Amino acid sequence: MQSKRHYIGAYVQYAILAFAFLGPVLWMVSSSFKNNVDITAYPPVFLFKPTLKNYLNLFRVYPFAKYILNSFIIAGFSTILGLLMGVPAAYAIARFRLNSLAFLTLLARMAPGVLFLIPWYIISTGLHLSGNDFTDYSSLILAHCVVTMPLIVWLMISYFESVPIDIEESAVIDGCSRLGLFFRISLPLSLPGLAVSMVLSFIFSWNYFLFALALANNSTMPLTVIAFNFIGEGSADWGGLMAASTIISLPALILTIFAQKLLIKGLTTGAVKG
Amino acid sequence: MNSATRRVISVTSAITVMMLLIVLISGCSQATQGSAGGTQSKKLSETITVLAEKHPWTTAIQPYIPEFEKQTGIKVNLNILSEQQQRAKSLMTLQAKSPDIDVFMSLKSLEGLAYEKAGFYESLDKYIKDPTLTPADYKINDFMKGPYDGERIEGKLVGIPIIVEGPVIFYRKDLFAEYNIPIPKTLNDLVAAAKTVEQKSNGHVYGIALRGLPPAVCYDFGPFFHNMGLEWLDKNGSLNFDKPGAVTAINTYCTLAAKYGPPGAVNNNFYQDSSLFAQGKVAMELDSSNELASIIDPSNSKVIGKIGVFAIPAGPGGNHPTVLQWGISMSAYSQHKDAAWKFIRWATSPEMQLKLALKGIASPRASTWDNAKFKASLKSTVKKEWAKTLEFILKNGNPEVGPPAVKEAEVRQVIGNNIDQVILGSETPQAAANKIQQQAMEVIK
Amino acid sequence: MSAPSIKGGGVASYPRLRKVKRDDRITGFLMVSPAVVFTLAMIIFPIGYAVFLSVTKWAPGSSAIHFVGLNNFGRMLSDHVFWSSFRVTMILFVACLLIETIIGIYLGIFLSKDIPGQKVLQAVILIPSIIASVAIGMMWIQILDPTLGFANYLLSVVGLKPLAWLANPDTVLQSLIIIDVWQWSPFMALIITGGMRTLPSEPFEAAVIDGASKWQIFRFVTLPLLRPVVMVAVLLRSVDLVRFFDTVYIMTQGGPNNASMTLNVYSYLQGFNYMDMSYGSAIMLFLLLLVMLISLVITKLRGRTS
Repeated sequence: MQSKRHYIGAYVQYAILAFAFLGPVLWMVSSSFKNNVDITAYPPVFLFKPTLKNYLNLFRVYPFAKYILNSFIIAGFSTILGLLMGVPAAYAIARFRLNSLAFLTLLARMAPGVLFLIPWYIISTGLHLSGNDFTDYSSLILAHCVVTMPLIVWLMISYFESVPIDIEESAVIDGCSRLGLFFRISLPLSLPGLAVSMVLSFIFSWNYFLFALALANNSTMPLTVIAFNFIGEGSADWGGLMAASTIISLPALILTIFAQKLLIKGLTTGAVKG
Repeated sequence: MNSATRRVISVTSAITVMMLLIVLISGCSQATQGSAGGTQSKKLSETITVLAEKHPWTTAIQPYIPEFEKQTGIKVNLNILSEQQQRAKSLMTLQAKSPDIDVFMSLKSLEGLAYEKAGFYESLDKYIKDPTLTPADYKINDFMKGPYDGERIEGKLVGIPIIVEGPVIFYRKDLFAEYNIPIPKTLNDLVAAAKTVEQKSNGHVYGIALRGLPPAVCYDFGPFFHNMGLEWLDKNGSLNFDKPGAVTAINTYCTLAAKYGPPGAVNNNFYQDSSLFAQGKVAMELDSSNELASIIDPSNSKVIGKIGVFAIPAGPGGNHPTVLQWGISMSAYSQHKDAAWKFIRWATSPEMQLKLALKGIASPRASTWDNAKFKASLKSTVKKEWAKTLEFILKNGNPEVGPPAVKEAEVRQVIGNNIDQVILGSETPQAAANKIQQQAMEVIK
Repeated sequence: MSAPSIKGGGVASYPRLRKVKRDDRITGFLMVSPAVVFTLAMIIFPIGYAVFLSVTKWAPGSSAIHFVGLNNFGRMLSDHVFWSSFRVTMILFVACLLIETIIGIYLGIFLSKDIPGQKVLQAVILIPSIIASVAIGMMWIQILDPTLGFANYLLSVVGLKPLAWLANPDTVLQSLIIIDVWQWSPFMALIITGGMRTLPSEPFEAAVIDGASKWQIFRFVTLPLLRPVVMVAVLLRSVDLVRFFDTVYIMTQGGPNNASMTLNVYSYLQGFNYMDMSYGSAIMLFLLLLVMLISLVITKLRGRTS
């Protein structure tokens, strides 16, 4: 009996939390199926004839599929590159206590994003990195590593720190090298943590819009820059914006839901006891 | 490790490899195309990059661009960004002296002086004067004086106007009739009209929606200032906010916003104004003539068929509406200047501007307004009134949206901030005028 | 080695294997070097460029260079907008961080309980953190519209007076804080849930046996054990909070009357809208130093625990 009452309390909290965090999201999604006139209506319209016009327009008026692909390429590769650089670094920092280097990797994340715009633009034109899609993607991916890599480093430091040292120690006695320790002991034990870092850095990179302004051209522009284009003079397209926003959040959402199990599992592995 | 983790890792790697392949393939094909194009481009085709703002003009001309490409063999790479971002991108590119942009949309009344001083604009005088580059049928004298002069900075032609607009007042004919309100002839009438609406509708309908977002205030406020008989600057280049008329202008604008405007007017920009008007919450909307498209769109508006348009009424110093023209300019760092000029010439030709006018773009060319086809396209009364108001603006307009200065944006912010203080009731109009005079002069110096 | 040293690590932890130590250090540095080299490569030129701009008088396009020394930094001292931006930045930083940490810990602990439906809730509440900031900004502009917005509709349903939200200098910061807390608490919660699940169960069992109350368990067992992971979350969030930009840039542009102007937005406006790159760069460098200082304090606090 007592546990049932306990659940009721929990579910009341569920309801409040879901309302608070999901309410505005539902507003966004429902608006994406409305005409503009219903979106700005007061009092709000709860019953309306849903329209797919906003979504269809996205693909008819804009090369939206192209933008989605661009966002995937940029977020995907900057995550991978961030992992390649960040995970070994996090391991070394955790094991050798290189705290000042940990701080240094965060430095790029501390500067206001605007500070990078013109200098990077000058570098990319100076090195003739701009102009074709391949180099544009490359420089954008590198730029986005400034977003992904520090996040990965710092999250992974805490996961590596929680891998018990005793396990490594016995492996060393068995003749395992440092790289062997990393690849065969610590990394496998932290794989789920890796999944957490991967998901979070993908989301952060996916949502970042400032660098693309400097480094992308027309055909390498990601979704988030284009989302600004819906509210212009004489053409405030709220429905289009809400549809675009829904689409923009979708991949991250799907990724998160699928990663849920992993995230929780991943966060649990830290508890492996020596 | 557990199998779920393994599976995700392997799926991720599979996706990675696939993406890598996609990029490599697209990269390679791009690269080969690029190099092939590179060697041939000098002889066969050129590509120009046009940086445009997300704007009704851009939306209207976009479908015609393939025609231009077919006619000339010049490929157009049209890059569309929102206003803020377009400005950041153009500044960034030009600052780096990069040839990445050939043609760009530019608001001379805002960044003109700064860009010209920086040497970002290619002078168009020589292109206009050369008959081999500009045939007679381009009819350069057809451009109206206001917008054309607006594209001239310190004597140099730095752009060609593409669209004109200005702050106008959209109003609800049904409410004006119901409450017996005449069309305001003076600024005082305007305040009285707004007051009547609020009183007779028992506060259900607000009098007027106007801009309060600090950087956007000057656009709407300018005519109030000029109608007191004041220019922004006096002959010595000093601001005119120390004249008594300035206080009256601030008082009038802020009374409208604070007493007869919707709550929270200080954060409002064009889209809030139009939403309020389209939802029937305000009887008047003082905003850009371009907003007509939003409020007569059935999927956007509840007040269709009830809308009229008039110009901001006169003050003691006459009637001096603000006219704002957008122009397209050529980058001084362009490496395809002849092609860029061909594009500008095509986009601003009498034929193209007529085509765009039929789509609702207010043309800077006089011939368009006299064109029979254009006149016939103004079927509804609201469009006729809109056209009449715009013609009035074009003839009498003052092209200075804010006080001309290299750091004009900052001057506008100062004016907007202080006007907002008055709307919020934390400053008197007199104090705001004093502060603007002092703070803005520091910026102008 | 005894159990409590789980968090520790390092060369000294292999007492029986001194000989691998030197090779080991080299391997360690090799592992960390790509990240460090990359970071330096990406930031040296931009920071150098900003320093250069900040000590020169810069006019767009001109190639002439006038050194003005520290004038731009001196200008900050007498610029009241700069000081009010500094104040606003600190208010937003402290308020958001405090509330987000508290809600993050509450949510994190709540979500780590095995109650049916918990996974669904966890996915659902994470949504605000994954929506692009442009969308968040435009969406909240609509919701908080004083006349047409959903927020005031809710207030009217429960019989409260409508608010001007973003349009009132007295409520604009609170509105921005609400939005930020809504957007980022779930992110904190996710990291903290993870922390909760890594905690060993023995201390809790011991506390229960000792007859500790729920509050005592939370205060003297949970909180101290959670501290390292909370500090990582706090650090990552702080670095972003001090550079508060997106929602202000999209929703208020710093208004009304600079009441929501943050340092990051102000430096952007100076550099890109007012075209004063020199002054804008000086403010950006100041902001960078501020973020570094705050992160340093937090890293030190975190370091102390392990």
